[in-house]
Amino acid sequence: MLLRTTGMTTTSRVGTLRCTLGLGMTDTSVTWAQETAITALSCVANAAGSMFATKYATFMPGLKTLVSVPPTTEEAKTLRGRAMECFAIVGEAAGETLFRADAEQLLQALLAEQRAGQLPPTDAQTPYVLVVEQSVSFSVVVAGGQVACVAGLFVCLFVCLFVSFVSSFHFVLLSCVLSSGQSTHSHHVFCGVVFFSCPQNRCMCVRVARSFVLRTCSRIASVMGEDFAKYLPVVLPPLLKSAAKEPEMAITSANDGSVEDDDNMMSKTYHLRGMGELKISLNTSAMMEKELAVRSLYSYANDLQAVFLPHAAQVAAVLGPLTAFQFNADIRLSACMALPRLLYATLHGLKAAVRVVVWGVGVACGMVTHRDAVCFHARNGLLSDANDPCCCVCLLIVVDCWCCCCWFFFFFFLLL
Amino acid sequence: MIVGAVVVGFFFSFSFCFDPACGPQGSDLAPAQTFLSACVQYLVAAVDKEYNSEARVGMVEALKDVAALCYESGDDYGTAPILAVSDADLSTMVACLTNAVTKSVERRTEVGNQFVAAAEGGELDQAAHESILDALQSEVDLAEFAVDGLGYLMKARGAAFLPVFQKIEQPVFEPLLRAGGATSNSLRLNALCVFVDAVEWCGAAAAVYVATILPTIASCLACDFPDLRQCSAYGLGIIAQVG
Repeated sequence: MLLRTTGMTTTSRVGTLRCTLGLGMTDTSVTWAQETAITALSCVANAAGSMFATKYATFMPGLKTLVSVPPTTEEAKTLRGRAMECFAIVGEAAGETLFRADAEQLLQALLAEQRAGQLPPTDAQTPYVLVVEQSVSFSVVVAGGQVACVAGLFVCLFVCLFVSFVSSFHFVLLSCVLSSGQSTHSHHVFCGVVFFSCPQNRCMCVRVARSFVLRTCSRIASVMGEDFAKYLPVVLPPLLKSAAKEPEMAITSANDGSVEDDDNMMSKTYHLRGMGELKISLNTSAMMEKELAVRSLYSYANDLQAVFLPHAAQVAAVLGPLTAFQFNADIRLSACMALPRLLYATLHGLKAAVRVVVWGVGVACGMVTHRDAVCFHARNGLLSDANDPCCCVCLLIVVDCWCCCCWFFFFFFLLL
Repeated sequence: MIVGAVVVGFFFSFSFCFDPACGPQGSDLAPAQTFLSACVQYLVAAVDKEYNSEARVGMVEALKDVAALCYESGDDYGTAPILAVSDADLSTMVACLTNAVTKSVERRTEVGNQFVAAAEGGELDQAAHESILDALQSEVDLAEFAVDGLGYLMKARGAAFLPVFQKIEQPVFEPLLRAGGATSNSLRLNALCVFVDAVEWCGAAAAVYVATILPTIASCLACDFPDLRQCSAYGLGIIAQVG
């Protein structure tokens, strides 16, 4: 409260803390002291909010060092998890401008780490446990999950490029971008209407197993907004799996020793009339994982908005039944709160998809130009990054696909 | 000539698409419509069954968000909403939200009675006092979300909403216009909001409710509760507009 009250106090206190926490964070001899220092730093950053931006450069290198080193001991695993969460909290406080590059770097590094198999699947500290790679040459998701066929898209692409070659400027631009190697990056394009292939033509499904990482990813998503969409195919499958998992519970006789209490299973004995003493055991650890997964799904849907469209149906199928989940009110609440967000994603994603069709028809009719299309989508926030040539080119490709279809049907009916 | 007509018709039919005042509509949004119906059913079932007070408030808020989303679905282009709840879902939502307010009133009465009993018995310590205040605030929030949700549904449907209002909302909210007791102000505010919305959005036929709300507005224009004063002043302006 004091930190929030006055800007001067906050700045000076943060300045004082810099030395103390900085020492705590880099003193590797005492892990628990480091953990406490990191937690304190998270609290300070959270309380200071945007005023913490001036201290971003001071703390971030230390945090990045902690996060980048794969831990070997149990203590180091927890420390890394805390550092990861602190990394996201500091970034959230500092804002998108400062944090974006570091966030991308962290996510890419973690993905690369998994891909390289440095962390075994069963390692307790492993944030990303399993990597399954599939070769996917080109996947397109159109209007709520309809996957267009690869060959059809290529045909449309070439024909539309041919048709629009004379009048459009972007062919040259497209050639430049593709030849410059930018196409090897993963790009989500145009409000979730089209997704291009993942890096090196690979699609990864990564299982996220630890709460630190879930919270970190949620926070990074809240900062990156729509730009986080390219990581959703990686992040969502394990969350959906955790959210859909049935609760582990057992009802046994109080004298029955088949269900032993441990760190995960919690038991309580009740006397029920006519049934005697009954022991009800519940896996609270799995329940917490489920709760966190549902909350994360809500968080992603809330932060990513229209670009969440390709995943909305899948997530809704899992969260819908959880609105009546009887064991945990927080899960019911998160599931309920996610539904309007998913509806928003569906509505606005579909509206964007309809716009593509309309603009394609407009280009075919010669009523608008490609520049108009780009300006319109940029003005209405429908381009993930209006300054990114790849995004603009991809938008125009889709517009041209519809333009091409329009001409095709026009000539088809004309010939008839 | 036929080809010429086709070309002209083709151009003409798509010319509306680039009018800034006109947006794309049509069956392409059918998945959103289907999803809307599923959302309403899930949320209504959840609100009806929920026993946890915090979760209940969140669920009613979610239902309000769905109603708001429908109302604002056409706002990009200044057009009418393009996402609309079906008649059946509308009745279900209105009944659910109205029922939530009814139960909230009952709980408030119960909490009020507990408060009085505890105060008379000398058992009202600081913790108990705060607990009762929290419970009341939770009920106030719930009723606000419910009334907001009803308002969005009313705005989205317009004059066609009036029969639903008369059948479901009016019997519950009319007595609350004259509510008394410790929580009377917030309940009266909820009721007044609902009736003012009806007069504003439900067309000329809703003008009959002017006589119903006018005494409440007159008495609340100078009351101590600022939200109620504001709502009364707003209602007076609406009545002046309706004539």
